[in-house]
Amino acid sequence: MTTVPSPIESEVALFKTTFLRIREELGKMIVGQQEIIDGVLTAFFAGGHVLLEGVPGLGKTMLVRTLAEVIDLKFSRVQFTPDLMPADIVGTNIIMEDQSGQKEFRFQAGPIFANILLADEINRATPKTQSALLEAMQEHHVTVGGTKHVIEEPFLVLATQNPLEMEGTYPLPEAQLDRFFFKLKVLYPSADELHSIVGRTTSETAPAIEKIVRHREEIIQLRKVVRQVPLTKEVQSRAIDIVLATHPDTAQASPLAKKYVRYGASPRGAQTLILAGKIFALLDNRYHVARADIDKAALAALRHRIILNFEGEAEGRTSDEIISGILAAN
Amino acid sequence: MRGGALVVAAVNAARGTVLFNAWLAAGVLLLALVSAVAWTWLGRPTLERTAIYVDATAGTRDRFLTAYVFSRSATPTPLEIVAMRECADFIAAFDVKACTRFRFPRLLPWLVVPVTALCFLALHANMARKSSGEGVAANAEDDQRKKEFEKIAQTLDRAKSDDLKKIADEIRKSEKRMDASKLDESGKAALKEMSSLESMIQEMLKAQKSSPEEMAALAEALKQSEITREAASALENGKPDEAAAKLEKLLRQQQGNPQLDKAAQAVQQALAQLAENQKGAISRELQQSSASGADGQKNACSQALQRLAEALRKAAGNAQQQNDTAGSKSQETMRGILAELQAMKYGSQGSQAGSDSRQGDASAPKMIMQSTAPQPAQGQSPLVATGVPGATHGDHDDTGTTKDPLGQQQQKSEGAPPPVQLNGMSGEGQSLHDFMTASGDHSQSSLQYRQLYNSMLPAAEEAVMQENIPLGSRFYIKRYFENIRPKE
Repeated sequence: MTTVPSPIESEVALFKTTFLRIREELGKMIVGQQEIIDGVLTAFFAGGHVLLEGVPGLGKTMLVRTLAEVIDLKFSRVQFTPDLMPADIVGTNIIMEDQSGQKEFRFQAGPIFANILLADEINRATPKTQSALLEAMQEHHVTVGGTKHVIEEPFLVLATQNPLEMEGTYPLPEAQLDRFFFKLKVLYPSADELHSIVGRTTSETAPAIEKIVRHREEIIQLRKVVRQVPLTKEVQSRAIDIVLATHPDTAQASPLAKKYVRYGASPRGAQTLILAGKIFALLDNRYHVARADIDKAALAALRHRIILNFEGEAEGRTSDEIISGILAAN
Repeated sequence: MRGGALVVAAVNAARGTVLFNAWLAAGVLLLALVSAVAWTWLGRPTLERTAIYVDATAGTRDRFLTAYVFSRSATPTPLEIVAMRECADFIAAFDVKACTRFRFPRLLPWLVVPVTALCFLALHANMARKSSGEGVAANAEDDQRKKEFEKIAQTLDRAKSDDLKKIADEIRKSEKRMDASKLDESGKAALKEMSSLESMIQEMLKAQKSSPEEMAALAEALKQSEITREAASALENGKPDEAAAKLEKLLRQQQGNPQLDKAAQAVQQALAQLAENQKGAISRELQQSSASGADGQKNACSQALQRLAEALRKAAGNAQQQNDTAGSKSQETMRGILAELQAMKYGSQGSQAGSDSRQGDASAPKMIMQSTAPQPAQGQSPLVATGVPGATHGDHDDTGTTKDPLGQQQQKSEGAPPPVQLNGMSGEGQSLHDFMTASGDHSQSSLQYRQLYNSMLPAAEEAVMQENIPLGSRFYIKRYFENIRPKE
């Protein structure tokens, strides 16, 4: 006797199927980097933005472009440079003449009005330009000439930064880093992966990409499903405890945090942990969040939200070490 | 930990009354067990906490916890209902056996503390009991030994011999020394003196050892000839000097009489038989002297009788001395003293044997001498034990040095020649001398620099710790100060 799945179960099943199919399609273009693909998709379905950190040539742009292609959403790319102005991103009012000869200001939308925006080398732009982008990331709208222009959902910003060439850059302030859902480190591929990359990119035919989602409303619906996943208070406490442990002044602070952390993760960190945990739970065929899901999301969700003090920087500590210490202690 | 504290508290409470008691130990253990059970019951976790434990142990991804929490919800959401169902299905199919493996109780090692404490207490009690018993036995043994010493000394005092009185004095001195030193170096010296005393007494006993059987055998041999019967009867009457006089007289008067030769042969046979059995001093002595002279000399028989006469006179002298020291009674006393001395020297086990251990008697107790000098191993040269270089000839380990890395302190002989200094001669060729200075720190003192650095270091650290220093520069500033730190 087979039980008929409830509507919510069907929605959960649809989410999982969609997620896995998108991942499969991305895997056709991107060799390896499974953690990066999962992280980007998780942030996408959770409604967050992703900061990708890695050296050039590792397929960051390819990943974002393929994602937009698979989901059939509007994609735009901005190469950030020091002379890039906010208007170059958000758009500006220009004088237009209509058929009757009257001139009026009309808003010319910038590249930010897209569903998926690739902000390449975001740390090369001035703080003013960065702020314009980051405001849009948080509020999902821009204000130009006193008029608010809403950015349609879904809206995903994938920003990249190069950790090597720091000369002439403007590192993102902590407050702006906090706007990113995940910070993912794109690692250099292994030898086998390099073989696959070279084989795919130098052959005559490129792999065909299938569109998995044809309407953006589907994505919005799937995002709602994610937020319905329940969790117990104990699991929620786990996320909060982890976040509090990153603060050196709290009672839950870990020894490493007390020594090397100047400021810990914001409440957005806890939100991120729980939202990511919900998606991980669904992918694990569960309808509830476990503490293991929270732990799994901790590194990507908190590494850019922890500010090391002088001692930590001088001794070459990383926020990943702090988080790993917290997870091991709890 | 708590059990151990309870045991310690209980033991402290009982200290002073009973050192160790099995019932007390059992009571303490029982109390600890009851306390542990009560403590565990009072601190038992809630169902929610239990579910968390189970999830953590079994790796069930919080399904027990979720099922428990969601089942208590008054108005569960659709996804909560689905989650509960999923958890229930999972738990129903869950292999409980995998989680119920026997595991060593986490807190059980703490039981080692009270158990070890009890073991130590029992051990301590046993040792205390044993040491008190040993002390009593040792005191009783000392008293017994003193009494034996005194008894020997009094016995010897009663004797008229000056030698025995001297021995009594020596015994008293040795007793005092042993008592004061309790077998340290002086005690060992006293033991040696006792050994020498024992030797003295044995020599004295040996000198008196002309046994009655020997006299009877000699008398029997002399009876076989008509002319020596008078001497035989004197010997039977216990008058060896008279027998000796008669034999000498006979030798002077009856020189060349064949009966004298016959009597001499009978005496020689009897003596040979006695000497084989080691029966007496006279026979042994005569046998030795006759062996050296029994090479077919013409007047061997008369010489044998002559030696017998001399031996009898000597035995008569010893008999006179025996009379002076209360005769056979004194001899028995000396044997007794000898046995007592050996008993004291070897311990109570050796008192039964009473024979000289140095004669190789297997049943005799072995002499145990303690010494601080290094003892050679079996079959090893005594020189090896003393660490003398080159003592192990032919040994492949012999490197000409001692095994002690610092070397043994050697006794310098007084007659050794003084060390001679040999002066060398310089060659005729040219030599080249050059001086090179060490590159190190150019021998300059860094004291002032160190003082300056130490005075400036706190201010520098304070400045570096200020947050307004750019992040990228802090590392280099700190590295700079690390580099200019003076070397220790």
